[in-house]
Amino acid sequence: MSHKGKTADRFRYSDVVLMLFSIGLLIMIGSFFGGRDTQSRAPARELVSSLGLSDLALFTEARYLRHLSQADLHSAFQDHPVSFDHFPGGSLVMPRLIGITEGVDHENMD
Amino acid sequence: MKIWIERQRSLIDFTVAGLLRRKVRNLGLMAVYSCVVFILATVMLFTHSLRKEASVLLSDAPEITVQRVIMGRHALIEHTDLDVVSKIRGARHARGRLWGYFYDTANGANYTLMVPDKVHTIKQGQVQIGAGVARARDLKKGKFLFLTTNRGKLFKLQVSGILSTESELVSSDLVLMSEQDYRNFFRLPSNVYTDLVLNVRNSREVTKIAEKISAVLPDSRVITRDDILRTYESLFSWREGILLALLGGALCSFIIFAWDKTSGLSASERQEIGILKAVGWETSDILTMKLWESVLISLGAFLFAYTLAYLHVFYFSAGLLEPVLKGWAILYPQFHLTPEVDPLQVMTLLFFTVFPYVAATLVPIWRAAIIDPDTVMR
Amino acid sequence: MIVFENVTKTYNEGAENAFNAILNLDLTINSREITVLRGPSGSGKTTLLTLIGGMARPTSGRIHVAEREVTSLPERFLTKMRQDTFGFVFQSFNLIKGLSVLDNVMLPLTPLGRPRNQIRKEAYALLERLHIQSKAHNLVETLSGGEAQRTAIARALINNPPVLIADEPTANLDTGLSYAFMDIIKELKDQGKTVVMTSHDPLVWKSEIVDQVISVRDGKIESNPT
Ligand SMILES: Nc1ncnc2c1ncn2[C@@H]1O[C@H](COP(=O)(O)OP(=O)(O)OP(=O)(O)O)[C@@H](O)[C@H]1O
Ligand SMILES: [Mg+2]
Repeated sequence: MSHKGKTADRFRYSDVVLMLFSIGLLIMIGSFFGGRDTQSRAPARELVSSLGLSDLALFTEARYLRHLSQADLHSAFQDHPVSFDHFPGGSLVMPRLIGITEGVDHENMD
Repeated sequence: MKIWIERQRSLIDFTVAGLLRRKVRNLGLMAVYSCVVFILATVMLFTHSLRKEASVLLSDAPEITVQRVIMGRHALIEHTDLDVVSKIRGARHARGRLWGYFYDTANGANYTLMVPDKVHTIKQGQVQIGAGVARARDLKKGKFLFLTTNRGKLFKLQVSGILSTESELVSSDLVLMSEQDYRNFFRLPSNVYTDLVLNVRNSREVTKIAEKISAVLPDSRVITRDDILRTYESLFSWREGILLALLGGALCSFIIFAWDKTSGLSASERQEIGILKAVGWETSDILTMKLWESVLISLGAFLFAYTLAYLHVFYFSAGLLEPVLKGWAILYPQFHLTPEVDPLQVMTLLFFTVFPYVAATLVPIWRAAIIDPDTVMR
Repeated sequence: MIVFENVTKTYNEGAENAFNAILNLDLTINSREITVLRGPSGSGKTTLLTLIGGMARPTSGRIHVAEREVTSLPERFLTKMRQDTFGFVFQSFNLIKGLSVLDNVMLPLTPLGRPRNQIRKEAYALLERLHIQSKAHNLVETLSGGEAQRTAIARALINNPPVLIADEPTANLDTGLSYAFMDIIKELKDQGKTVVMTSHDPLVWKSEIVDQVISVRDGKIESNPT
């Protein structure tokens, strides 16, 4: 019986693994250089400037979420930092602190 | 160098063979790991690119918005205030805006009704609607939108156009109508607006002009474009609900992993280390081999999960996040985010997924690898 | 030449269950000879082999390998010795489950960074010599006792060590395979290698190729074995 054919590996695990990892790393590094696509934003930007829009239409469930930057600051419990919130979306975003904390650095607000 | 490479390759061969030996356990481990990374990476990529999207899209938002406040609530502002604001030196293109919310009892959705400015003039009896509204009411160009006022009066409006789907992130729930229709619909007197917007001749003077407006209209509040942009810059910052919950969960699972690892090696793992030492492997060989093992598991899971998360966010519109973001809303915009990745964020996630695991695995290995191999002969 | 001078190995030293597995033992093993250790179970034979093979350090006394005192040498040196001086066949084989016969045999050379194809060729040659090349790609847990035995021997010989240490190498083998094993040992002796074995088996210690039989009892060498 000849074993000559068998003395060479069909493939080595290390080659497969290193190749997969190189691909993964390339994808990761490649992903850092995305975002050059400004074309697709043109229609939205045009609407923002012509209609004078101020907010994203991401949350439509409540008015203070729909117009986050225009939200009413003084209504009781509506979007106070410790208020209980009716709307699920309200637990995803912080209340708008601008106006009450003029000039205060937001990141160091705790 | 050649020897070094060949040595690493041989150690990887050995490691992979070992991992395949405990296929179910290791694949399970990687699956759990990938899940955690996938969720974190999805949220990270999504929130970052959404913030970026907001900052680009809203860079053309009105420079200054003036809202009247009565008893702490946003109230209608009068035409006379528009005249006052227009006269402030440095203010340009001051105009009154008409916009408001409408709750559609037919399907429970909220629309934003709005009157466009001169550029988009819409004839009386006609509307232009956002793609979300079109979906919710199953409307096409030329069909009619029926809206009921709060007094029960029915309005019949013909759809003269649907706003482009590319702009859905800002326009999904819009219903644009003529000023006449708007005022009739909400029964507004002709001398009031929702709020005022204006531009500033010299953008460095925005704060000064905002202060001037506050002085002449003390019952109003002023929102600058910077305020708007800042609102969206801090959108989904890490302290907010979902992120906190996710980070907490991820932290817990990493602690469980680490605990499981540092609490010791299984008898067969110890025996294997002993055998390797007995046949002449150095402590450093064993550590290198095990280093590869934990790097393959943790980095492999990371790369796999990151790739999936990237595809999910940028090619499948982050579909899994939709129920979370949608909440109770009926309308949800369908939008594609432009790929925007913050390398620092990704590297941080990479570090926190790979490093603790590698450290937690290597410590007990190192402790086992420095004892005499004699113990395995029992 | 391996020389033991007044060597003691105490397990659990200082504890209540401290046990002298080897006590004040003097011993000389000549190069190019076959030495067999025999004695009842628990007499300390395996312990002695681990001391010879640099797997454990004595509690007191000195061990010289090729005129070099090894007891006080650092761990790195012992590893080096295990790597290129000794080949060890364990009482329970200690093959790594889940790996093929070939991978197990190649184990000692894996971290050295030599080209893999070359290592594979050498491993194949050894398996052929031990007549189990047909099992090269089988997992070790599927092997019979005799095949596992020969795999363990192949692994001990792969780095061509001058000293082969084998613990109860025929315990799992039938008479035929035991004779075959002794043939291999003879071959090694003819190649000028040193062999140290333990055995209960008369077939081994009564064999004519054996140069020295040492009886061990209670951690000491018996001068007048029965
Ligand atoms: N790690 C250890 N801790 C405590 N006692 C040990 C340890 N290793 C061996 N011993 C004891 O040392 C004695 C000698 O053991 P050893 O394995 O050398 O005997 P042996 O001659 O090889 O026996 P057998 O013929 O059964 O293989 C035994 O009584 C054993 O219980
Ligand atoms: Mg024994």
